[in-house]
Parts: sequence; C-alpha cells; structure tokens
Amino acid sequence: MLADSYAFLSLSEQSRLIRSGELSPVALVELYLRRIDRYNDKLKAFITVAAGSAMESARRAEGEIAAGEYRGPLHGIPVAVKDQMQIDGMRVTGGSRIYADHVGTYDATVVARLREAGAVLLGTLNCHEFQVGPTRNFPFGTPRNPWNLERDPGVSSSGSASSLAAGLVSAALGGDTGGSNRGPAAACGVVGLKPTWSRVSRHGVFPFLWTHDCVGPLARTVEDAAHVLKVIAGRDPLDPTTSSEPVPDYLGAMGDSALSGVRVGVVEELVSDPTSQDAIDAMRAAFGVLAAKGAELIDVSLPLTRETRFVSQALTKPEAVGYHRRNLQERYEEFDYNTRVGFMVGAVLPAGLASSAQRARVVIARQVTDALKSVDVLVGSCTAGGAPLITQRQPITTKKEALEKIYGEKKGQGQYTRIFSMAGVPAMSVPAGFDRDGMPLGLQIAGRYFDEATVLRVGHAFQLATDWHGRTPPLA
Amino acid sequence: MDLDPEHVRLLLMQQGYAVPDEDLLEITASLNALVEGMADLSRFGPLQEEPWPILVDYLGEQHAG
Repeated sequence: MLADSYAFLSLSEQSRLIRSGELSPVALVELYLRRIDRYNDKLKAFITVAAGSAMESARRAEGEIAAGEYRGPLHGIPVAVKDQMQIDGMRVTGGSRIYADHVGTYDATVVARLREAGAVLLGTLNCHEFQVGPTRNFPFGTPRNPWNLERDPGVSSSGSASSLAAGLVSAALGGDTGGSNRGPAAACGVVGLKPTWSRVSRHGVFPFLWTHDCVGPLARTVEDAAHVLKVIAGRDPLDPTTSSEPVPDYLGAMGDSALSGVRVGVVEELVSDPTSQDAIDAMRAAFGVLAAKGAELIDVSLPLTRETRFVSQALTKPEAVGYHRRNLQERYEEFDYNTRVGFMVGAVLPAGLASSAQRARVVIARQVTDALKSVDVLVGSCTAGGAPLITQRQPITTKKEALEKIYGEKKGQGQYTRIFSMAGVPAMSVPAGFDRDGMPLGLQIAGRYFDEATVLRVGHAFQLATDWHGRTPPLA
Repeated sequence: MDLDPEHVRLLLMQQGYAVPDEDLLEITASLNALVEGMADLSRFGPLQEEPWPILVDYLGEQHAG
C-alpha cells in the first residue's frame, strides 16, 4: 500500500516514477480512492467518484506502459474534472438539481484529450451551480476548504482546487469565466490557470458566458499545469471559436529559473485597497522574489479594474439566462435561489445597457492589452485576501443593499480576476503565502494573448524560489 | 427612476417566467442597482469600439480558408 506522501507528489514527479516503473498507476489510483473515501465527506470536493472505471483505466495504463506503449506525461495519472464537462457514461450535473440525474452520452473534447493522453479519470468535482455562484444550497453538499473547514474554497471550481490541496487527485480541470479557476486556486493554495479565450475547446462544457468561458488546468505546481495545458490546448473542429494558433512546448519554454530580461508590470489596483494588508505584504514579498530572479519590476495602473463589477454583471446576466431559458420557464424553483434571481435580473436588464456593457468591456480589455505592450506580464493579488468564512447571504430587499452586497467595491473578490477575463488574456494564480489566519494567498500572473508560455515561465521561476506550493493543509 | 416589483413581474411574465413573490424583491432591487451602476458610462470614454469578443482572430482557419 502506497504511503500518503505519494498523494502530494507533483504530477511531474509521479509521471517520472510511473515511466520508470517505480510507481504503479493502479496503486496510485487506489491511494487516491482511499483518501477520497476518508476526506470527501468533510470536503465535498467530489460529486461523483468513478472508482470502477478508474481502476479499469489504471490497469490498462499500467499494462500499456509495461508493454512499452508510453503515451506521455499524463499516462496513468489520476485526474478529475469539474462537474461541468460531459463524460460519456458518467453523471454530469453542472452542480445543479436540474441535471442531478443526467448521464453524459459523449466526452467533452477536453475529457477526450485527457483520455487519449492516458490519464485516469477519477470522477467529477463539486462546483457552484452552472459556474455562476455563489450558490446558496449546494445539492451535493457544501464544498469546504481543506485549510479550514469553516472557510470557503472559492467560487466556482471549488472541488477542483480543494481536491488538489487535500491530496485527492494529481491534477484537475476547471472552468474559468471571471476567475473560477484562479480564485479557488488562491483560496486553497494550488495553481489555477485560465488560458487565453479560444485556446482550449469548450465543446461539451456547460456554458456560463460564451464570450468569456475558458477551460484550464488546476494543479499543485506550475510545471504540472503546463503538462495538462499541453494536452488540452489547440484547435478543435467541434468548437469553431478555438484558435488554430500552434500550441507551443510549454515545458521547454520554462527553461531555467532566471527571469533576466522579463518585464513585470505590478498592477497598483491589485495590491491596494480593498486588498488586505496580509495579501499586500505577501505580494510585495513575491515581487521581491521575481526581482531577485532578474525580472525588471515596473509600476502599472489599470484604473478600470474597479469598474468591472457593474460591467461584468451587465454582461453575464443577460447572456447566461439565454442558455437556461426553457428550464427557467418550466423548472424555476429547482434552481438555487442565488442562481435564479441573478438570471432573472439578466432577463429584464434593458438590452441597451447590455450592449453598452459589451462596448465598455472592449475599453477595459484595451487597457489591459495596452499595458502588455510595455511589459511581458502583469502581476498582483488574485483575491482581496484569504478565504472568507462560509456564510449564507440573506435575501436582498432594497437597492441600497444590492449596491453594497452584490456590486459593492469592498465585496470585491471578483474584480481581481475579472479584469483579465474581460480582456481574454491568459492568467494564473500561484501560491504565494498565507494570511494571519493561516489561509493561502495567490499571486496572479497575466500575459499577452496566447503567451501562456511566459506566464508559466514566471510562475515556475517563482515556485523554484519558494516553497508555498509544498505546504499541505492540516486536514491531510 | 426605479422599477417596482409589479413592473418586474410583468416583464418576466411577458417572457414566460413565473417568479414567486419572495424572489421578486431581490430581483427588483438588484436590477435597479445594476441599472443605476450602468447609467453613467462616461468613465469608459465615448464607447466607440465595436463589441467584439476579444482581440484575436478567433475565426482562425475559417478566415484562412
């Protein structure tokens, strides 16, 4: 029986051991299944655990590798995907009661690519309903943060991040529309990447906001995320919005840990109020690490960061309601309260305002892309601070309350990530310290269109110089 | 000018949505807040850009073909 420490090895290290025959994919899957059995009741990270098919896949992978048919770094590696992606023969719910009994009849392209790479699918991961969030009553249990079970693991790829932090899987996929990979990754102390919009296929993935939705990897290290991205990225004829831009060798582009010649833009709005002092201190220390590696730090301002809160709502609500129209008409009360009232706002928001929001989005995006003309990456905090306590917001009854609780600047977790989502550029969160309550903090790194390689390179260099990603939560 | 819950109920009914009273207050409050927040767009300049998804040739091969 494998020791629990194997559960926390990086995917890259597990892969090396599997290839050399020192680690059995079957034993690794057994280890994760044991740990899921032990911890999932507390964490509610998984919705569906596919133990039988996972063991079957692991045995097949082990046989193939022994026969010299090694497929690559993901061969025999246990992975799981956000319960947003279609899987042939497996329950896929979108985190909703509406699809509680829905069984997939085909694989989403990203799932198919993981399978082709030889990965072993452990199951589906808990998330906020239809990736919207915040969900009030989770139909499959409230996801919790492994660093403190009373704390939120982040919205909306909650299980993708918490499962990694707790050592229940080697890598995961999540969907990131406005920060849904990066926020949970920061909250749980793992890596979460949102690729360039159109870099990764969304075929077979429950949509939230078509013009923003991205699928990307979550992992314990940047190197691991690069391995997964390499497999899932690239043109997909089944998703006409995917780009034909060639997929580079991300691992090769990482090189050594030196960052000489890399210009890093420190975004003032991502390290100032309402960012907590603990997060600001952690980010300043992180910038110092990048500078010590040879990066040139340049102060940058993205003044429209704080304006994203209204614009993003005016974009998402009308667009999201279209997809769910029939279910909202016929099964309204089966939706979570928070999801359905948000969708209904989208249904009645004046079309002229929604259209204006789309134009405002372009102005915001232009601010980001203009900044990236003079620097290679932009950095700042990924969240306002460490993960907050799990609470249930009371229904809102007045405009004043709505302005404060839904759109308020101080509420602010989303603005840190939305700015890059609205621009469509790649962005990633990397573990960068802890707050005074012992909750992880994330350094966010954003880059130019299709330049995930530089984002990964900077994140990798940071991880080679720090050990934040090597810490494990007390639960584990 | 803010809408009241009855206005909002009618707008939703027009689209085939039957929403219970307990939801209507929050929908109305949230809608009025969002409309107010989007009322002054001068901070974004003249808004002359077309609302394309992102700044890349996302049609890719279709263009090339």
